[in-house]
Amino acid sequence: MARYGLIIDISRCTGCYACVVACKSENSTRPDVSWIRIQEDEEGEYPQVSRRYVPLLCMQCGEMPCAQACPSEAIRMGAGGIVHIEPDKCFCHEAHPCVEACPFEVLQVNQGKKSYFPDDPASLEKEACEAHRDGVVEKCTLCSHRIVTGQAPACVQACPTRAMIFGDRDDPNSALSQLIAGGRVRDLRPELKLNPSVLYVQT
Amino acid sequence: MAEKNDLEKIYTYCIHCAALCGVVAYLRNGRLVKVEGDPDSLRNAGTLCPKGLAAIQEIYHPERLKYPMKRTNPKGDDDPGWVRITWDEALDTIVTHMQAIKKRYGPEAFFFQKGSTGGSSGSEWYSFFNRLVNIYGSPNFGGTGHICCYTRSCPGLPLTLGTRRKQPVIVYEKSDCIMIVGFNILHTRPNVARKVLDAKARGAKLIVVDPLLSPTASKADIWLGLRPGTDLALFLAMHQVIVQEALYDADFLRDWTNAPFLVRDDNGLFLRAADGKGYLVWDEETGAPVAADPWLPSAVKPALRGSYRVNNTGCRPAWQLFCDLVEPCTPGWAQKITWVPEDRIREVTHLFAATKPASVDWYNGLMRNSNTFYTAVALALLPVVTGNWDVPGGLTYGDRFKLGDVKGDHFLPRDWVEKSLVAMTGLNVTAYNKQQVGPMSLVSEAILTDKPYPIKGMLSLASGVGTSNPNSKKMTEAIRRLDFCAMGDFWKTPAMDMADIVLPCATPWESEYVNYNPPYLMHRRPIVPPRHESWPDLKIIFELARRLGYGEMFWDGDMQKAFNHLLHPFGVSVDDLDAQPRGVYISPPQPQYRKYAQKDKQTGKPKGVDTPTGRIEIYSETLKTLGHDPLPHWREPEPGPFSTPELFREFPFMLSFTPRPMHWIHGQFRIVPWLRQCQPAPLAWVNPRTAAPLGIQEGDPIVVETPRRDGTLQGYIRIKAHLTEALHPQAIGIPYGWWQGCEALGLTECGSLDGSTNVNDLIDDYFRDPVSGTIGMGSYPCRIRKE
Repeated sequence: MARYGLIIDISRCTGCYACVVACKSENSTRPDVSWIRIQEDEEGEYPQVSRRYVPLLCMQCGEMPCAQACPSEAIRMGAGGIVHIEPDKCFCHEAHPCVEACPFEVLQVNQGKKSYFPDDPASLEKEACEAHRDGVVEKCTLCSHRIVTGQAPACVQACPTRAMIFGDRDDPNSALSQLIAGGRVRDLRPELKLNPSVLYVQT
Repeated sequence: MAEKNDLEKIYTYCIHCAALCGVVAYLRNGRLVKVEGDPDSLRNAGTLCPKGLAAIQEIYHPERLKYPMKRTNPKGDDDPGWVRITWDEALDTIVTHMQAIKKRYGPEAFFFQKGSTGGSSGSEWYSFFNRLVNIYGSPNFGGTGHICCYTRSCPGLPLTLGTRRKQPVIVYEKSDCIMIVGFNILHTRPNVARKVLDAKARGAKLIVVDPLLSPTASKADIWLGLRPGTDLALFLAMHQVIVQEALYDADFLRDWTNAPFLVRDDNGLFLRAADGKGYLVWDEETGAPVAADPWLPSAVKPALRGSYRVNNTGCRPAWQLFCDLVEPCTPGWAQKITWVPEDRIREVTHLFAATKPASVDWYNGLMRNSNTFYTAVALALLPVVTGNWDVPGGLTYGDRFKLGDVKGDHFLPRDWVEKSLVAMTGLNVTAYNKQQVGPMSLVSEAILTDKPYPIKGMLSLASGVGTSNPNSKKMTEAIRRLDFCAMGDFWKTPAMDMADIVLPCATPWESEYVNYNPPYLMHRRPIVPPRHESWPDLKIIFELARRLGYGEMFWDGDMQKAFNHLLHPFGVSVDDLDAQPRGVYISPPQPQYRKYAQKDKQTGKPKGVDTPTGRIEIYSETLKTLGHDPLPHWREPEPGPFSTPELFREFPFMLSFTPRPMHWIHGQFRIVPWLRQCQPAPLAWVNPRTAAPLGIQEGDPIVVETPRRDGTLQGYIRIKAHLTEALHPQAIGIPYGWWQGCEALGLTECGSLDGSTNVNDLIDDYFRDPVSGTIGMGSYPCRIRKE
C-alpha cells in the first residue's frame, strides 16, 4: 500500500501562486472554486514584523472529518490514501456538512459561473470547466490522475522555489519519509489529531 | 482528463520574464490543452510560474484585439469610432505617415516605443525593431530601462566598474552573504529564487533593503525597512563603518582601484606625471611620487591616506577623499535619515564586511529616486572595498554568448545619434545609451513644446506607453497631440483611445524566434497559429520594412534567413535547432574571475577594467569633468520630506511602490482571470497606526491624492486599503500597473487618469536625478482619506 502525501516547506514558500494557477490549469476548476489557497500570516509591528505564506489544500486526513459528516457516504479513503469524493453520491443541496466539518476550509461547492470564457468556441476550457457539475463538493485530489502516470501533483511540479515535496509515506526511502524522519515536519493543527498526509516544515 | 499520450507535445519556452523557462505545450487536435514547465529542462526542471501556466487563458482570451482598426472620430472624442480595416490599409497608412513626417520634420520627429519583456513577443524582437528605426534614421527608440534596469547595466556603474555592455553576475551558489536592495527577487526571478533559498538553507546570510516587507524581505535574516529613497545614506554609513574600523581590503584598493591616485586639491582632477603619461601615486617607502601606468612596480607601496605636495601642487589620494566624504556619514547620522537604528547599521556592516565572499544584488527599486545614480555607485562600491569584486560568490560581471547582430547601428548616421532627445537634454554619455530616449518625459515634453525639436509621430508596440511612465496625464495629452500614432498590443490599452491605427499583435505563444537560453539554443515555434487576424510583432516589422523600401536590408522579408543570421555565431541553422525538441545544447561560458588581473597578450600587463584609468574608479574624473560629483555624495531624494517640505505639509505621507508579485509582469495580464484571481484588486498598504486615526479599516475604499511640483493637485486614485505592519506609518505602499479590467470576473476597467487605480497618474515628472535623469517617484508626497 502507498500513502501519498506532501510536505510544504514554509521557509521556502514565497506566496507566488504558481501552485494555485497550476491547479487551475491541471484540473480546470470552475471560476469560483480553487482547491488550494494561500494564507498570509503577519506578526509583529514595523520594523519587527514577519510574514509567512501557508498554502492550504486538502490535508488528506486519515481521520476524514469530512467523511464523518457526509450524510450519503460520498467520501471515502481511496487508493494511495487519497480522500476521494464520489460526485455521483454527493447529493446535498442547501447545507454541505462536509464543507463545514473541514477545519482547513478547503472543500468547495461547484457553483456560480460554469467557465471563464463561456462564449469562446475555440477554447477547450469551457468543456473542461463544465465537467465540474453544479452543486457537487470538490477538493484537491492530490492529482491522483497524475500520480498513476508517475508524475507529481501539478502544484508540486510547478512550485518555483521547490517548497513542496511529494512522496509516499509508506516508502521509508522516499524524500517525504526521510524529511519526516528528520524531525522538522509538523502537522498544521496537531491538536485536532486528524492524521493528515499533508505536513509542513514550519519556520 | 485524457491520457498524455493522446496529446501532441510541443517544446518551447516562456518569455514572460527573464527566467526563460522551458515549457511543454500539450495540444489536442491543434487546440491547446495546457502548458507545463518542461520537467527535463535544465533551466527550470518542470517548475513554471503563474504567468506561463496561464498561457491558455492568454491565447484564448475573448477580449483580445482581433483585427486592425482605424479611428473615424476626432481625437479627444469619447468614442474613437473604431472601424475594422485590412492589414494592407493599416500598414500603408503607417508607412505614408512615417514618410511624410520624415520629409517634413526629419526622422527624429518619429518616435518608436517598445514595451518590456513579455509584451507581445517579449524583448526578443527588439533588435529587429531597432534595425527598422536605425534604417529609418530616428535616434528616438524608447523603452522601459529608465524605470527598470539602468542601475544594473547602462549608466553610472560602467563608469565606476568598467562594465559597459556587461551584466552583473551574482553566483548565489557560492556567496555566503547577499545584500538584496529594492529587488523582490524571489518573485521576479523565479530561476534565481531557488538559488537564493538554497543559499540561505546552507547558511548564507540574506540581508534585504526595502522600504516594504516584500516577499523577499520576509525571508531575510535581516530586513532593513528604511525610509524610501534613502538607500544612499545607508550605504554611505556602511562605508563609514568600513573605513573607520579598517574593514576594507587595502591591497585590493591599492592594486586594482584608483584609490591611491593623487587628486589635485585645486581642480579635483588627477595629478599626472610630468610627461603627461600616467597617473601619480605617493610611494610610502620612498616618500616620493611615482607614476602608475596604471600599474605599479611591486616595490611601490602607494599611500591611500594623507595630504601631499608634488611640485607645489597640493594633492590627496582618491581614497582619502572618499574617506573624507564618508567620515561624517556615521550610523547615527544615517539613523536620522533612514529610520534604521544605528546599531542595526553597524550589525549589517559587520556581517557584510566580515563574510567572504559577500555580494550585493539590486533592481528597479533603485530606479525610482532623484539620487539613483550615486545610490547605485555607493552600493556597487561595497563589494569593491571589501575585496568581493570579481571573485566567486562576490559581485562580478560577465559576458554571454551573443546572437548575431541585427540592430544595424551602422545605418544610423552619427549626427543623428547626437540629436537624440537624451543627448540634447544633457543626459549624454554617462547616463544612457544615446539611442534610448531615457526618461519618457523627454518625449512627452518634446511633443507638447516642440523642444528640443518636434515629435510628430509614434509607433508603439507592446507598450502601455500611456500608463507605464510617471505623469500619465501629460503622456496621454502628448499622445493626443501627435499628428499620427499607431499602437499594437493584444488588448486595448488606455492610450489607444488617442491612436489613429490599432494593430492586433500575436502573443509570444503564437510567434517564433530563436534565442540562446543557456544551455539551449532554441527555435521557439508557435504552439498555435495567431488567433483572429493578429500578427507577430516581427511580421509587422518585416512588412513595414518591405513597404518602406528596406526589404534588401531585411533579408528580403525572409525571416528564416534573418534567424540564420542571428544563429551564425553558433555555426548552426534553424533546421539544426528544429531537429531536436529543445534545440541545440551549448554549454554556457564558464564564469571567469579576477578578469582584471589577466595579462594582456600584447603588453604583458594586466587587462584592468574598461574605465579611463584602467582601474575600478572609486573617484570618477569623468563625472567631475562633466560637472557632477566625482564621489557618491549624499543627496536627499526629491521630492521628499526634507528636500521639499512645503509639499509634505498638506501631503504628509510618502508614497512608495509595493513589490511586484510573480503573477504580474509590470502592467500586463490583469485581464487574465487565473492571474487576476491571485490578486483581484490593487491594494494600498497602510500601517494600522496610520489607518486608525483616519477611520480606515481593512478593505475600505480610500482616495490617494498627490501634488504637482507647485503644490496643486496632480491626481488621485481610488483603491482599497490593506492594513499591514510591512511598512513605516509614514509610508503608503501602492502597486503599479493597475488599470485593466477582467470581464470574465465581472471587473470593469477603471481608466488611467483621475479616479483610476493607475499610480503613474499620481506622479509629477518634474523631479529628476541630475546625472541619470531618473524620475523621483519613490518617496512621493501623498495624502489619504476614507472614501
